Amino acid sequence: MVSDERAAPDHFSHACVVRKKGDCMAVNDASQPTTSGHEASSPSAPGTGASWSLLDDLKTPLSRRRLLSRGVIAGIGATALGPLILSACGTSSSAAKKGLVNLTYYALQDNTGEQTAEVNLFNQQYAGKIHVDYQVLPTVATDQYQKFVTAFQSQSGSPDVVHIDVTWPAQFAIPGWLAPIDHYVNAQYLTQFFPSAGTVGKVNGKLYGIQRYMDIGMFYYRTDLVKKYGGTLPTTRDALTAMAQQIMQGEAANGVTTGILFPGKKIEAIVDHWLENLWGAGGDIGTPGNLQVNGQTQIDALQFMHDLIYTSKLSPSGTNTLAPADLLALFQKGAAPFMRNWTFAYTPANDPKASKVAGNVGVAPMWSTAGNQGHGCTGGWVLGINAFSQNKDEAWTFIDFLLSQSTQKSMSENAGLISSRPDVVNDPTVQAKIPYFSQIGTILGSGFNRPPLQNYNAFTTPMQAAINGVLSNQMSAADALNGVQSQVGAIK
Amino acid sequence: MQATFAPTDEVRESTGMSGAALPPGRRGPLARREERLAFAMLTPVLLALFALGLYPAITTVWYSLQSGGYQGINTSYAGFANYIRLFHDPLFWSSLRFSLLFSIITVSGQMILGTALALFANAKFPGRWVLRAAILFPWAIPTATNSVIWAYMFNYQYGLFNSILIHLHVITPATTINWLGGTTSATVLIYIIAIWKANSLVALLVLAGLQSIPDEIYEAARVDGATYFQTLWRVTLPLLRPTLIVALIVRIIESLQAFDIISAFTNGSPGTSTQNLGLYIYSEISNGDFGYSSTIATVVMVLTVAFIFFYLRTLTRSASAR
Repeated sequence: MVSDERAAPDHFSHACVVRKKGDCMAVNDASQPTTSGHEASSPSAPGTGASWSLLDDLKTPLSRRRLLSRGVIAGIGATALGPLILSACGTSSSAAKKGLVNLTYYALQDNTGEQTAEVNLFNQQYAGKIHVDYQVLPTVATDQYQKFVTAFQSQSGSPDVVHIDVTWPAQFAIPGWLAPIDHYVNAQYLTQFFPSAGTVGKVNGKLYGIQRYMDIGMFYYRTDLVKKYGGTLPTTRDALTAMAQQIMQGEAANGVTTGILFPGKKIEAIVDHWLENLWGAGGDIGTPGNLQVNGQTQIDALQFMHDLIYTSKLSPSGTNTLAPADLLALFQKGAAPFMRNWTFAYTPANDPKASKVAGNVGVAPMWSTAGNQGHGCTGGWVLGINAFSQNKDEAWTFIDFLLSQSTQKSMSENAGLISSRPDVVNDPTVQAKIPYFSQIGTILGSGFNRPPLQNYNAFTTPMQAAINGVLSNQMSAADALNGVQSQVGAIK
Repeated sequence: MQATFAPTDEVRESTGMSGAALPPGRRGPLARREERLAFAMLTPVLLALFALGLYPAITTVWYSLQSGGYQGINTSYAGFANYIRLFHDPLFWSSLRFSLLFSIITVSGQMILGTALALFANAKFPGRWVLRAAILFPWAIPTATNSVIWAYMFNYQYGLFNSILIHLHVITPATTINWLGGTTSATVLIYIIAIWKANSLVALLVLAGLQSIPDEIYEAARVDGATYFQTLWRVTLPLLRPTLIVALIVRIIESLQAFDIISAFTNGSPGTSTQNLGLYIYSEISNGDFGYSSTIATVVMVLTVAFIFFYLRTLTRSASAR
């Protein structure tokens, strides 16, 4: 698992020099409670009365009740003082072993073992200097989110390094929970990554994180059917619907029951796909604090999704309950020539054991309107530093290690995750292991990020309901988006 | 024998141990010491009740008067602004309507079906224990798990029910029924699942009530020539009244606070047509708006407390009627 290439500690080149002076100050600061603790027990301190009364007590005979009550007081006192005593011990020991910095890293569960291997390798390379403790978080994103919020609200210095969803940097940076990393990176450093990966952590002009691995909405198509019906992959909405119509008519006998599959269930993916349709028409939703979701381009994008189900009937009537996994199941059955889905669908769609269409699946950037470029919505996970961390420099050293070419190569090869670095995605040895990487380089390069909002949930919750309502034919696209505008327009 | 132990209130009253020598309204030192001991022993429970019941309730009401901030931090006093917003919020009214209809329909269904099941399980027949165990199954499975399984069974593409209908040639693979995607079908299915889920609890309570009715009363009714339905209507149901009322109120309270059963089944979709107050509170908390979510929670709390008062009053009445 550990390649020789990765064993070379080239990460020192990016790593900042550990601030020895800062460390000493931290030790001194942390030792304050100990000092004040001594003061409290000195004769001049207000606490002295208690010690005298204790002496008085000793002169009086000890009854059972007195013993019990004193025991309770002693217990409470020990409990209250415990953390102080412990922190005092911790301070002196860390002062003695200055140089070894313990970092806590919160990241989601990884069943491939790659994450643990990366952490272990880092700990080997930095033995005696930095030790990373990887705390496994639940797989469900909302559970992770709650863990982070709880840690940040308590202003805890742990975790030092956070592994967060692409929609969270703004949510955590604006309340002051993430540390800016601008002084660790420069423009040159960021050119190592796909453009969207380098900007996804940018909030109000400052950078709070860099993407570790990517996901993106892609246009999946059946290569055999596209070849049969003209040979040119449609890139515009009009060409797409025309070809879908043709294929549905021509291939009905061969199990093609629908034309275009896209997510319609009330989940985040429907907002992402609406954004893709909007970006593909040259539109956007404005800037935080000044969002616009009910302009004509925005309404048209949603109307297009609605009409695929109810007017042209090129998409399944039950689209409003279909999640990405359901779309994949239909595509694997050969029920549709076209599909919008995340990158996870590529491997199972091409697995001969699970898919009837294996070997006939191609991917391309999202469709657009005539004269515009298609853009997939990005997803994935970002690395950042807790603003309350006492070890930010060491935290960055660890992040830099995780983002380095050798670690990222290992991550892609062993865990199948899409590196945020083009030099890894385009690496022939990686592509030999994961062939579809050869097709996704340009798609990743055209990705767009969702708006960096402090309260992304407040934006997406009503949007999901509105879009799902339209895809359920409950209301018109204009009514739905006009209704949401007043709720989301001012979200920052 | 009792005189050798520390006397209880009843013993003291009956023997006149404390009352006789003291002026009325005053208690002896023994009684006072016992009282202190009682309070001391109650303190942990009272503290727990305060910490886990009263404190969250008070905090919720306090938050309902706050606005702004994020995740409950940096909020500011807003008076009744959240309540005014609530009043003008169509989503609140539609959620309230869903909650009340859900409560009325599912609780009625649970009461009727649960009572019928209990009467059936109370009859004497071989293998009765199998039925009694089977009744409990829906209640024994966690609600969220139930809902996820039901959602799979009603899945538009590969659900059990569409598959059965395809095999019976009622529908074709191209015309599968979008069970969870239609407002009416999703709503009706939620009602059915909620009734299926909780009628077993009602059945359990009613079965316990039925077993407390002495056989002699039924024998007397039979001697008087009463038919089965006359016995049911005139004997069984009146005697079950306290049990039925407890079951009814418990179900109403829980149905008003329903969350997991809908969350894991439709998550309020299509659109927001199956969203109840519980889901609305959750989505507002997820959005970091503690003020507004607490306002909706306060409304649910007031509704629930109203039912609890009704419950306690009825209980006291039925107890005193005996």
